[in-house]
Amino acid sequence: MNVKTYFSKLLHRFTRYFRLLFLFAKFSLMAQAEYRLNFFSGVTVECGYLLVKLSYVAVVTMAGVNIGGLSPDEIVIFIGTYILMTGIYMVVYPSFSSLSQKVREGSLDMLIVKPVSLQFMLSFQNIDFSMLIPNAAAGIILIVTGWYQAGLPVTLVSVSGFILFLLSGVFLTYSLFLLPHLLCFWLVSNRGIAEITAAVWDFNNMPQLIYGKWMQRLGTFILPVFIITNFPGLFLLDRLTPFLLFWGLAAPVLFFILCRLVFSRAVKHYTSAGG
Amino acid sequence: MNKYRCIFQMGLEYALEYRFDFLFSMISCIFPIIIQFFLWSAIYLQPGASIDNGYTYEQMILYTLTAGFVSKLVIGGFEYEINEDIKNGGLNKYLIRPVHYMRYYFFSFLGKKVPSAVILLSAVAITTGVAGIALKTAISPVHILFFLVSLVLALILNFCLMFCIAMYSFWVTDVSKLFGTISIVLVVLSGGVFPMDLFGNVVRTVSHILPFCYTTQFPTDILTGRLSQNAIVSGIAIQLLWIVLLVFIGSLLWKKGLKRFISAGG
Amino acid sequence: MIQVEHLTRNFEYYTKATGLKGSVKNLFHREKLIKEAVKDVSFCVEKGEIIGLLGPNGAGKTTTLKMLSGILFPSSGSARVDGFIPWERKDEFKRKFSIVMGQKNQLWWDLPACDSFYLNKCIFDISDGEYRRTISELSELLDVKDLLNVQVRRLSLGERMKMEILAALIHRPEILFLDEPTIGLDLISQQKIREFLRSYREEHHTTIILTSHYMKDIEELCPRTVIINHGQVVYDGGLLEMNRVMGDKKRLTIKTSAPIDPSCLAPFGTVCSLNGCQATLEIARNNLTQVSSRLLSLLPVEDFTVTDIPIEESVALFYQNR
Repeated sequence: MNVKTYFSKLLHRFTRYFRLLFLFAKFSLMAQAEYRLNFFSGVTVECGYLLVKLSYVAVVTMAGVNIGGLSPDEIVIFIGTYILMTGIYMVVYPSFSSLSQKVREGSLDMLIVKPVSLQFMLSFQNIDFSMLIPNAAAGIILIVTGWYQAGLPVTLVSVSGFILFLLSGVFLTYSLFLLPHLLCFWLVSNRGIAEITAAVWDFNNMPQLIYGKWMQRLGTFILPVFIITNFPGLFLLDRLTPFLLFWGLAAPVLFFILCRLVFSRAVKHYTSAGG
Repeated sequence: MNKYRCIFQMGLEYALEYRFDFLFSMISCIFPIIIQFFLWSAIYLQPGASIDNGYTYEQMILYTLTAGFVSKLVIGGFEYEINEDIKNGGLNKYLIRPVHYMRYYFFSFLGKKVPSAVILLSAVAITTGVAGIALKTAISPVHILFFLVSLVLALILNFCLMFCIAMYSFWVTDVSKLFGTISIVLVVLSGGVFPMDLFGNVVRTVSHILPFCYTTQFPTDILTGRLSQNAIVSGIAIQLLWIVLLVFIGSLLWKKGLKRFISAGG
Repeated sequence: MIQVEHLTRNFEYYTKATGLKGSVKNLFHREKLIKEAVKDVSFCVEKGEIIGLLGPNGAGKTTTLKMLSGILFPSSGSARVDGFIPWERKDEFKRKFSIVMGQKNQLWWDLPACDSFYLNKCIFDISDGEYRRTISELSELLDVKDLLNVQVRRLSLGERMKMEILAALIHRPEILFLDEPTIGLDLISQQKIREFLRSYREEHHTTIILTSHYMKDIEELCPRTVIINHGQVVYDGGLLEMNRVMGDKKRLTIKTSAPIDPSCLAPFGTVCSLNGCQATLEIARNNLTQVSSRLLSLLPVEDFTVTDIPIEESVALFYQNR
């Protein structure tokens, strides 16, 4: 096969998956529109949680002191990033959390026989935008306000670097937070694990700099949840060493590979339910 | 009284059945405590900082360690069942029996609280005990006694509050999803995340009038030793006042709602 | 087209004593038990052939189909479906076949069926023209043209099953696995689905393996049947020839004017039932004339019928025997 046909095939595959992603999103939205009340109550519940997150912002600005070497305005950027990321994570969260149910009831069967990556379908089949809306709005407002108030430069490098680390955070979120849900292939109930993971996510409510040294190392290198919401802000404030810059971009790749490996193991282990 | 003891026991057995769920939800209680502990340590312990928000560092740490558990303890949960009763007509089975609906749920609520109370109170005892030694602040036995009294009242107060909110189901059929939002907002307003006193004079004054703070912040503040004897006594009086008022409102709503329920044909 | 050799699948499971004590004990030591769902199953299906897979609940029919479609890995043995090893799950293989399971659905519950069809079109990468042709042909044949835009949850069970079948055929598979496609349906819907399958197969020469509880499905559609019981193949052949295999017997029912004495019937054959003046006997086919003439002379016979043993009963005998 020559290079040209290889690339055209790759391109075709790409557009196909993109089209499927679009369809999943469209269908999820259409299905949700059938239950409008659920959709709006999803928004209001998320607003409730948003209130909790914003109370941290209030505490930090009311205290008015530097925390972990960050000014209140700078901290607002970190919390804003955390809130925005929460919104993005919540888009795929229904897919993740329904995984164990799909395994238990054997509805995976009808997906395995499709000539599309199973992991792709499982990850994006149920997409929910209701929780994205309040979080994205609040998160972006906080980031922009903090950025402006702290008097940080708006240059091509600062903005594109910030966005690059946001994107790397999105990829890392996907791999890192899908992993615990994959345990449902082996365990009867992984509710406890899912609940603990959700709680770990909330550590990002505050910039990592307030935590102890060992906790920071743990959360950056072993279980790199801190990378997700801290690195965009740390990059902006020029607090990343070259090594951390590299690690912040390498970790998502590394964990994606790990996630793929565990997934293929998990599917081999799958014993379809129901006869 | 015997039948309500029975209901209490049923609630207790139910809670024991679901003890593992409860243990897991405990974890979601501990993590915010860790975050807030680091946050307050970072704020108070930096060189040259003088924080003037009405709490010393020791009091704030004690508050952080206790408030999360207290709010978990007083939180409702029965409002969903009441909503189900009203929506699906399960209410009828209470109407034909010689039980008082509000009392039924009250005793069942208390029963369900027993296992969590044991766990949560031991958690509070351990954390505050350890913190007390580490921070070299002793909690006086009088304060512990007052804390327990106000905690029981807080539990009752929150029951009345949630019962009134649950009565809303008579007028709007599907509010179960809204309860989630309400209970989160209530946790914030009652000081389950941060004390309301931190957010300025206006918030403080308003929050001291409204009932919410008396479900979490007030008992917790007693334990931190922040309140004077007078403030404690008057706080308990306000708790009692709100309980009486809310019982009154609750039974009024119940009567009105029931009329509507019956005229709608059950 | 399909070769199955010594296919075996075991499931591991654990016993658990009840109560808290059992749960605690379970943490440290669990007794592992093995259930052989499919044991050493072998059969072949030719291109364009349709076979029925018959067996009682839990016999291993569904497990066999799941292995053939790559959903499950076998514990041992081999299978080839159109040259592919199913559990390698190659995309090329997945385009060749389709599976319909009566108890599982692939359609989106809250959306019209045509949306799910369109999703399948994108998944299987089918051109617009071919997709339109397929939908119009099959919806005509299944008589669901007016229902394509109705939400799946508003459809009746029968209509839903038709849609499931349509969704499975959008990529024109060469091989079709049908697992209980008529389960829970009323008689008319069952009949409609059978008619559809027959005419579809005549036109497209699809290779089909069909499992069903309903004898009628198999009787009408499948000239060849594989019977599985306790995970093993106990019969492979035509349904009509089954009787011959089972000893080639006939059933003789007589009605007499006076009550029959049981002892006088016994020498002729197996007495199936005896109820006052009516009795049913099972006798070997080659004894038929001899036995009937002697019975007629011996007893005051009023009515006399000879029938084949119903297929259901022969099959049930297979289920019991092993």
